[in-house]
Amino acid sequence: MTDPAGLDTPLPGDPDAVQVLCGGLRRSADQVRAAAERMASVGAAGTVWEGPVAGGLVEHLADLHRRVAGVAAELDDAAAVLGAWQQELHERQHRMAMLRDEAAAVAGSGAAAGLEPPDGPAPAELERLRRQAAMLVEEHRASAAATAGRLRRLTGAAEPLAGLRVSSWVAEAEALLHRLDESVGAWAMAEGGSLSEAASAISGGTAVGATIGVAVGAATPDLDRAFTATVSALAATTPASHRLLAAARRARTPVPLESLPPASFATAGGRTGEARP
Amino acid sequence: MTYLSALAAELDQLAGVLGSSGTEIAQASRELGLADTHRVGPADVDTAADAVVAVTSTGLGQVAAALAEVESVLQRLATSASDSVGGP
Repeated sequence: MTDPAGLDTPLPGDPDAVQVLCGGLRRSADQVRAAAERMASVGAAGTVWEGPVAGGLVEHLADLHRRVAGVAAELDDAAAVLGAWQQELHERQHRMAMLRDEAAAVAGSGAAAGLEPPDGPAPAELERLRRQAAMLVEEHRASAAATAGRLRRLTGAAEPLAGLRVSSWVAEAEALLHRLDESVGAWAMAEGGSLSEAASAISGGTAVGATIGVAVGAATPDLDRAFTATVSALAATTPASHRLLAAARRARTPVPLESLPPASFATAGGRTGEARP
Repeated sequence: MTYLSALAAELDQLAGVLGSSGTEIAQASRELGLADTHRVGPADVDTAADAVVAVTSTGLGQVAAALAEVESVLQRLATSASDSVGGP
């Protein structure tokens, strides 16, 4: 006799399945949080790359970072809601099992004493157990409805991420990066000439050109330091200094980064590699 | 180190950051997509849990794809800048 008091109404839910789902949500939250923290470092990384192109992309990434970090919090919340549900579920199923055991014992003792046939009317004790079981079922339904409501609210909070117009964001980022690509290309083209071409393009027969000519003639291993100093000094004051830097590179002469004019890839003014004052 | 080689190094670093972030987010999206939301409770709880997982997994998948695209472009730019100066 498995259900002597009619206590066969199920309390749906598998505590083990809830626990597995909670674990998956928490692991995902950890992964997303770690990714969001790493993305946050992008905005602080701009030491060389600056200007409107970098700024536009970093702004997009900062917005994305905020949304992704919010999702990590929502996953934590979902895991917490389901964790609480799992505890309640386990406790109610345990209580229902105890009621069934108790009812089985009552029914068994009654039948043994010849007081109550198995299919006859339930004694008062069984009726009490049945009422407790009915209350437990109702409690379970109410708790499930509340849990579902909490989860639905979390879904609503997560929807902005799913509704994020990533395609338009990527298109805009690509456009920004295309501009950067063009700027890099223009910069590379400008560096493509030889030192003499650069000297000619920059200064023609001026004193600067003569200085460069002397520097080229003096570019022996013993005079690398003098060459570097000459090029660095010109780089600090010459608008098209990137050509000189390319020439210095071809002469295998190291030019310290701090000696370079602080240029940016700003394209708003239509110029690339523009030296800042 | 020239300006372009410094730029190449920085773009490469940014691409690495975005690539790692995208990989972790994609992994989270996949894990969520595999989550078993049945037998969590009565039908209304199962449905609500399924919606949380589906919406979040879809959104994270989109973010991961976007990061992968941007990473790819940044890597191309880093290579371009690096090539023009003979490597960082």
